[in-house]
Amino acid sequence: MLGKLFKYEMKSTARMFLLMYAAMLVVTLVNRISYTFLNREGPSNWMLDTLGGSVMLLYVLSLAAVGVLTMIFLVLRFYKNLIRAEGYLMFTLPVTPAQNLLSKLFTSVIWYFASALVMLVSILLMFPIGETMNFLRAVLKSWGEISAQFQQVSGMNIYALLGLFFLTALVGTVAFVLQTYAAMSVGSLANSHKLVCSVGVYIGIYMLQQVIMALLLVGFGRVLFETDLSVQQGFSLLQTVLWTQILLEAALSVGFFLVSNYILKRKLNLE
Amino acid sequence: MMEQQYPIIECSSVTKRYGSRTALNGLNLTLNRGRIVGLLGPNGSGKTTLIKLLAGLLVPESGNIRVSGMPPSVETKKIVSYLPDKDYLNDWMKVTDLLAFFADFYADFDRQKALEMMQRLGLNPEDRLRSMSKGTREKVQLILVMSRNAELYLLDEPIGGVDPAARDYILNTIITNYSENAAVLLSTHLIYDIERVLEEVVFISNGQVMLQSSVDEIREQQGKSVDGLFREVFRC
Repeated sequence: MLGKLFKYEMKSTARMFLLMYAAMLVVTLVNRISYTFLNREGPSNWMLDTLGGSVMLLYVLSLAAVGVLTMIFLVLRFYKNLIRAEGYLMFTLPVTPAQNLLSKLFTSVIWYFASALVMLVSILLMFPIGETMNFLRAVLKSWGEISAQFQQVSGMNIYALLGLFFLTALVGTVAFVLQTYAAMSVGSLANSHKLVCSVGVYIGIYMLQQVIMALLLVGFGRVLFETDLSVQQGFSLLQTVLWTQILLEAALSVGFFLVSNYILKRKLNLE
Repeated sequence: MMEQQYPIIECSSVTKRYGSRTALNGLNLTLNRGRIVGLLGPNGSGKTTLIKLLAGLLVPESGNIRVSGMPPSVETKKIVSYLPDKDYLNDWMKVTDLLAFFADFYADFDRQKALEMMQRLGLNPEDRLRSMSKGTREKVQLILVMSRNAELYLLDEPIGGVDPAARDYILNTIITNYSENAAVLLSTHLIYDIERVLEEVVFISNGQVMLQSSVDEIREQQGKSVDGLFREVFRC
């Protein structure tokens, strides 16, 4: 059943994202052409410069928009499909609330990563393709040397570091998504203005997290500024920080999930 | 099967509150299989609340609910076909999408039957819900629900807000499509129109069952129509 829910969720959201990515691609290409055109040698023309600048601005805004729209769309998708009238369908299917939550969680994480990838590819496309390819080829060629050097300087395996970054991003995304779900679940308990309440709950959780984060940072910051760290110690500290973050976000994820599941299972009250 | 021995619905001392308002107040009800039952009561009597509890969309404050001997859960949702009193399907879905969806999630869904009924309404597989009139949409929702070979059909105000011809269509769809030995519980306050399909009635008021009787008994022993009895019982 989870597989079916996941399939249905991906199908329902794919159209919007693929359209958005296609639009982003078009904007990227337009900006690329505009940029290349402007970089030709020759007398500068204030009209062309303004046009080029505007196109670049549009591009940067579009890039940001991909991220923001991804978030807004996925949050509204959850809200519309589970808290509003479609909830009558989703919660009478022979599935558990947990399965509904997980199918949406997996789908959301995939789209967040896909959007990030699209943004990255878009930025790379802004550089001359030949140069980018040469750079990538050079990196791949000397990869063995790069990773050996890295190991020596930092005392860390480069794969381990990359893996750690990825894990941090993954757990961070999961925690973020589940936080929105928890906020919407709690918000759904309100008799009216459920969405507004959800936003309020989300902000509340966010502020609480910021306070805790700040306290932790003070602790780490002190270590960083009051001691002389070697590069190796620096990387060691980085690992500690990232692992702490991963564990905290993982714990938060579990907490958010349990809250959401409890509310949807025991306190559901569709309008 | 063991399950066949259980009444299809058993509610004992069910209480459900919304904040300070009590919707169901120690409600008791037992329904057996193989009949069409009307859940009749004025607005605010608790009909929708009871149906939602049986469908597994609400959790009672206290009391016991059993559907085919089981508490509302994934297992009961497999055998309960529920029609809510509102538009609950995604507007953008096409007829084919809806059929595929129901077939995917419900093992007891008869896709062929549903498709035929929709085609008889003049619908194309590629038609989207949003392009249909309200009456057609309601019929589509009903067809989907009645095309399941469920053990219990819960229909919340299935004929509210549609014209008389549509009402006849809906009632005929109900009586010709529910599977043998299943039960249909339909709630309504439009008793006059629905009376002819009912075999048993449950009068509900202020969150409790006031009366439960077969329609024959009411007509023969009391000499009244169900509609007539309702007006008497719920006289303002």
